[in-house]
Amino acid sequence: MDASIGYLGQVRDDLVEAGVRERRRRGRRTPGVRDRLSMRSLVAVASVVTLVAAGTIGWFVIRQDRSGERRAASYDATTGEAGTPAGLRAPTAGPAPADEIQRNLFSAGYSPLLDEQAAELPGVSSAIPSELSRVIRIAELGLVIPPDSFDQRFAQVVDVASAHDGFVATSTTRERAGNVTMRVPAARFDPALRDLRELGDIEVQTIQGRDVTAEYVDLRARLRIAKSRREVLLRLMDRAASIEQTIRVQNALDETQLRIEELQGHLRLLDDRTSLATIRVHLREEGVEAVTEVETPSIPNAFERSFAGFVGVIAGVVIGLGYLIPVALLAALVWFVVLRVRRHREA
Amino acid sequence: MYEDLEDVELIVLSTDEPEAFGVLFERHAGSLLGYFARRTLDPEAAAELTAETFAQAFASRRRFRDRGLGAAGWLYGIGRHQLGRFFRRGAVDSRARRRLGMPEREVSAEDYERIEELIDFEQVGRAIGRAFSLLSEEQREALTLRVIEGRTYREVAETLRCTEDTARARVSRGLRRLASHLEAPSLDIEPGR
Repeated sequence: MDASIGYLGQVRDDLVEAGVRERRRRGRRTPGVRDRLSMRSLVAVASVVTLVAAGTIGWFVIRQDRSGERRAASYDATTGEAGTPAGLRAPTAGPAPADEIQRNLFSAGYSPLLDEQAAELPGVSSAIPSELSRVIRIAELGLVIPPDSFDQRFAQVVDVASAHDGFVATSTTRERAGNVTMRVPAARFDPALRDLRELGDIEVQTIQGRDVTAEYVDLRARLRIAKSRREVLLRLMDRAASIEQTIRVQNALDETQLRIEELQGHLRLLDDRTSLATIRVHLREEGVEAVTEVETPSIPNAFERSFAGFVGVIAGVVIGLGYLIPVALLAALVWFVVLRVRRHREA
Repeated sequence: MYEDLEDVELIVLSTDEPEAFGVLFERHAGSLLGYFARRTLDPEAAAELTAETFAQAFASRRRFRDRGLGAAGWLYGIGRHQLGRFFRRGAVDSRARRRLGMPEREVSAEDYERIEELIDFEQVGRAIGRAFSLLSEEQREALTLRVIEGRTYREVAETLRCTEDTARARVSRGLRRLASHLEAPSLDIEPGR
């Protein structure tokens, strides 16, 4: 250094003095996190912490939403139990206005008598005779039963099925919880449901009615046409003069026969679905988790689940960030003000 | 005790030993001052720029990473940045010095003269003369009339027997070439160790 320039000497001394001051300040406080970490690692740690916090918050929010839904459902079930005027329910006996009626909870107080009356008085509610009216009915019932009563209640559920001329289609049981799927004749659907409801506290109840009358009528009409076509073809067959004619008629006849069988199969299926209603009962003792259908893991299933998990984690983080960002902005504002004030005071 | 150490070692050491930074300062302050003086042609600004550059270097000495440029490269990097800000704003920054709590120092009359000596106006003059001689005859003439003698473009055009637009073009092109010659290393100094 050019020793003859006094200014430089002063600056040198000032710098050393500033260093000594800084060292003294540092000595007084214990080495903080900031001294040990470089800015870059601090930023990395901060972002990881933010993401984890966001994910955790998101997870909590999603979980709370789910349990809220469950609570709401069971709450509704109990209010439904309190009784809804029978007039409110959808007219399931005649053709329903909507193709699919989802009655959740309204049915609790509804009397099946009306259905039976309607069945006895054809043509009361619609132009289509009621013997033709076809509704697929599926009910889902979640019941909570008192502790240590599972075996007894499970047997009672099976009894209900046979008492109403139905049968148990599938059942899954685990310790103190289980699922039963039963089929009962459509006319016994409501009495069976009523008996089942008495076996425990209703947690969830869903009743679906899909009116397939139009489809049924259509299929029957097509079957009639196909049958008369078969008659005509058979008569033609008798009159066929040449081999060529015989073969042509035979082909048409085969086609018609196939069509008839298809239509009959479809009708049988609809008959089965509509004459036998489905009731799924989920039983669980108080304080026991409900049995979820266990799926055997498969590769497509695994991909689906991994994708769902991927989306779920991102959704959770995004939801959490929504909660975190306003807080972070506020914190940044406070920090900025504090910094400003401190610098102002130092100056 | 620090004199035998390398610059980089001094910087590393200076995080706990401020004296080490003092040694680094002694090594490079003179040449940095000359560097600023020759560029600003203003002894006071050069002195302040030196102080601010070192203050900033001191404040960020923990972040120093030797990227093969050594300590001098690092210091001149900070210095160049300060110089750029000085030219843009017309004033020397004092942020780093304020933050470190360094007092403002006056440049004494003797210091002023000594820094002027660093500028070596003769050398600057020679450099300008050399750059000037590299211009074309027409550009040199136009620049002399317009910049040194301060004539109007109309007068320049009349003297050179060309249109005013041509006179303007010659002056601006001449200035640009002059600037590019002066940016060549003729004015640069060797950075210190």
